[in-house]
Amino acid sequence: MASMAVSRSPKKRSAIQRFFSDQTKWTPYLFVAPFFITFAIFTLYPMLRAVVMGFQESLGYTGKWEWVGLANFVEALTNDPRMGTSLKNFVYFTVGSLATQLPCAFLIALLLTSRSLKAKSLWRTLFFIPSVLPGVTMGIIGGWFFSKTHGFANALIVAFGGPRVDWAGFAEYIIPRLLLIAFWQWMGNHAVFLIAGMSGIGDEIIEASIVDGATPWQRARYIVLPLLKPVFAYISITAAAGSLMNFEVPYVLLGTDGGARGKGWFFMTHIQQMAFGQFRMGYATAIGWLVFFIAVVITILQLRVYEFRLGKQEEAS
Amino acid sequence: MTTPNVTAPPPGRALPVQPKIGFFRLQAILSTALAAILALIFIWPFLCVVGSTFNKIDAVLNPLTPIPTQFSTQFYQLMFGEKYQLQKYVMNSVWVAVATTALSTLACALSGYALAKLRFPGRDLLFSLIIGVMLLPTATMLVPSFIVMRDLNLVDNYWGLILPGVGGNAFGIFLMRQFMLNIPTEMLEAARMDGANEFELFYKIVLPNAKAGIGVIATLSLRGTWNSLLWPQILITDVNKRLIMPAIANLNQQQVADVFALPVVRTAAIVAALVPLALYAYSQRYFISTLAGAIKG
Repeated sequence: MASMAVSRSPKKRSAIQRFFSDQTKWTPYLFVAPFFITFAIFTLYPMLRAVVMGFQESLGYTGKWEWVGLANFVEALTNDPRMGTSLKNFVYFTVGSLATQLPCAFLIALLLTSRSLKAKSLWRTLFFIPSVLPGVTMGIIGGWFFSKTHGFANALIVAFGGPRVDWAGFAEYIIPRLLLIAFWQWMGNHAVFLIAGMSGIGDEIIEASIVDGATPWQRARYIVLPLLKPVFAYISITAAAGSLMNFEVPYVLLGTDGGARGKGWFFMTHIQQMAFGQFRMGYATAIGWLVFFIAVVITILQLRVYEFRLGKQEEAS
Repeated sequence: MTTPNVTAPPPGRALPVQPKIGFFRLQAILSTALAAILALIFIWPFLCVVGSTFNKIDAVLNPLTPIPTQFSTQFYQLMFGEKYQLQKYVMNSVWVAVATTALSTLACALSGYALAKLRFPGRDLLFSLIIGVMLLPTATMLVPSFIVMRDLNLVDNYWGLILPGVGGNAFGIFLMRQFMLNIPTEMLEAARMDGANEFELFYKIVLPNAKAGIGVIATLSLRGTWNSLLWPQILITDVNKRLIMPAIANLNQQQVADVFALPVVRTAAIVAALVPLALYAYSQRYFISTLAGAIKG
């Protein structure tokens, strides 16, 4: 109805009136408004603040700021041992996670897609369940598992006649403990993604390989594995980005002082401690930007690795 | 151990070559047994930790078995009792999670629909803005977000948790837009022809057709808000306003000279996990397939 009125007397109305008389013109903006207004205030504006804050330092908790130029970045890169620890832990944790979880996830996925298996969805659910648990719960369970006096790990070791291990007391055990918890939490999740990827492989490819006389091993190695490359790429890119943001399990398991001999820092626990333990807001923001930079670099690197493996000869160039 | 041509005949039917049925059955038994054993090993420590929460405090424990040596619900009573009062934090979390999920899902549905199905100037700009900012990690945004909250006087205020949950859910917008793209445009056009206005269109056509997407996003949002530790830990400093995850983490770090603290924390961590587990059980039919579909695309 409204649009007919507009067409009758278009010249007498201003552009604004015409805009509001046609419902299809203004409703889209009304629909996107709830999200975009909160988005602008709580995501976009903090992002702009972050750009400035990297070059500032807060004077205590007062809300006053001091311009320090590049000093935050220089300090983070040259004069902060916790940054080195965080980077090392990130690399060990990420590489360790992928190296332990992916092969097992692939084998589990093969087992759970085998045609003769009964009650497939039950096994799939059981392996997947740990990945929906809260990080805090995983941290607490991890703490119980590696408890010196009444933990699962030591009980198992003692049952086989070994000595009790003081898991929390030594820096060398930090990464292995985290890796075991991460394995338990994420392996099934990866397996489910691989299973989804396998179900996308056409039956005719598999059947053709059967006709050609491929053994199950050859089929898994030379047909299924290469076709799952995009899924592996997705898993390893998101897992690397996720372990860069690793917070809950280290925080719950290792506490606020960085674990044994301060060797358990991760970027997120470091940032949290700097900002809200020592109130160095500007410095913590600068570390945040460095973490963003690392995230971009490792993502681009992985995209390259996974693309170039598709064509071997390109890799040489 | 299969021979390559074993898969051709379906199981259970009379076959010319008899041993192959037996072989198929044997294979089924073997693979199912293997899957069952692996799954049991995988889930065993979890059963043990659940079992340990049903012990008495002075019971002699064996961490390797899920069966409690002296059955009692002592820790569960303590957890909701005078001293620890975890039900308070549970209620706080329920409030925040429900409010965040309701508002965020509505905002996502509205925006996702507009970005997918309506044409208006600036649409593509808005969408690329979301995707661009989506890439910024929590690490970079954490401290500035807190500063903005302090300037807005939203520290210790639940709106400081809820509103960023709405405006920060770029992934939800992205996913919802994908769902909305599947709604046939002809259906919308036909309803417009019949005289439906834009609001009726959204309410009567779009929402009923986007039920699966709304379910997935609401589930993800509920789970994310319930499970989150870092942001509520930073923003809420008032002990009485704490959410469940920060409350558990804090209790875990303050267990000084209290023999009950450790088992109660463990019990609370397990009770708190029931919420995401129930959500998963409720939504698992479409959960895995939806997410798997999202990554393939």
